[in-house]
Amino acid sequence: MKLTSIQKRYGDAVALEIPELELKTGEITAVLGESGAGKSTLLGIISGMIPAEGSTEGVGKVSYLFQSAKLLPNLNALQNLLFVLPKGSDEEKAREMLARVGLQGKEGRYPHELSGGEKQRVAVARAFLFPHDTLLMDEPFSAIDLSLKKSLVELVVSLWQETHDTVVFVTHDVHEAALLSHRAVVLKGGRVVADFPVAGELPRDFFNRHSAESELVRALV
Amino acid sequence: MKRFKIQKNFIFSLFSVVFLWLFWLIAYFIVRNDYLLPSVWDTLRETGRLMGTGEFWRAFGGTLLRTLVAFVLSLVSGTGLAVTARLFTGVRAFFAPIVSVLRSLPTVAVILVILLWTSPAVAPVIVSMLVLLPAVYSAALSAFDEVQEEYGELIRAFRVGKARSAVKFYLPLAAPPVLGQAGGIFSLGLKITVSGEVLASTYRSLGGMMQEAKMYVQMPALLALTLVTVLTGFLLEGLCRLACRLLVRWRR
Repeated sequence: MKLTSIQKRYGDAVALEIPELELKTGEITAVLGESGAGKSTLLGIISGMIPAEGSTEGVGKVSYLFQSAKLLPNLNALQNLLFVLPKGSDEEKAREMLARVGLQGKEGRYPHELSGGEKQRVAVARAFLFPHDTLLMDEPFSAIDLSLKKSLVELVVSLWQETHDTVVFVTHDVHEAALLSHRAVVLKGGRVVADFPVAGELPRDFFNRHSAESELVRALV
Repeated sequence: MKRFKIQKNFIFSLFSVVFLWLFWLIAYFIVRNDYLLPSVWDTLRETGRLMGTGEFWRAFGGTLLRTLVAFVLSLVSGTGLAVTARLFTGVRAFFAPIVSVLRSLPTVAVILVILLWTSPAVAPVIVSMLVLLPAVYSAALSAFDEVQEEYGELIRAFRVGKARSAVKFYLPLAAPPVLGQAGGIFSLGLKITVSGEVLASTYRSLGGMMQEAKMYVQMPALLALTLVTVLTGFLLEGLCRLACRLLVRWRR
């Protein structure tokens, strides 16, 4: 995926300015930055939901994992998956995916009958099941407790190991970025201030501090 | 806690009924003229007598049917127009002045005009529909806007088609707030239908019976019919609330 001469302005203020950014296919790229750094704007531009100057190549079809699960309350877990899938999609595959994320037997439950973690698992299943070339994740672990974060990070890594998707992952948490990415891009004031590989194979140990974390903290502060 | 709240609300509602009854009683003793304001007792006795006649039930059925037809037609067309306005750019702006005109139409003038074009049985339905349509449209559109605000990002991100969005997203998610207001809209429909029937002297209608009672200065009958209309309005609101509870099984 290649972004060239990207510029997004809101009035006179530059929200994002990226002369060139190339992301490797089949890798997870973490985009870090403080609030207002332009992280979500970058995801919006990649997905095509936010119009901007410049060009994006090789993005293909995009799937999304949001900060909140965003499940439709009137549809059960299985129907929430089928809702976004193209017409005539295999229902069995959706059931298998729900079983894969640990929700076997809970396909018929409505969101209000699921726990917060289970809702986010349905959202993960939906994001990986939706036919895509690129998966965009917008701070999906930021509003959850630590033990849930651990299980969801492990789930996302294990699903990625099966698909080897190109993933762009926005976060403000250096630990998450170090755990889950092959590469980290740090944004500050809408510009890329650091861009470096994160060493080590996935999955990584949740309890160990990773060497990339200190480098990320330095770039952020 | 919830039960206590329901009990408390019931007691306050009961106070309100007692207040209205006292108001009527005081007004009766001030006016002291049965031709102008009959007593509560006389009115209730007349209500009972009317309910024992076939003529009343035929009139009641006719009015209820007209109200129901107007309500269903405005619910279907108002919701349909609101879906179209939500899904297609420009349609909302196109509808805005039309809805404003419909909202500010003087009901009595419209009844008189429509009476010239149609029959006394049909005119109340059309007028009621013209009054209800903007109410349903606005309720549905604001419910759709709320739904869009909360879940619109999901629809855009996964590029869900318009037909699927309408059927599985907008309509079901907007149903609870729209059905929540439907009771009030239905009740308003009854009021407008009866007004139309009074002006049109519609055969076999509560409004027609009211007009007849007024002509022969039968005040207890007039108030009894008014009381029936008010109570039917309450009943329709309650039925809509019940339908909402039965139809919507999910929670946000």
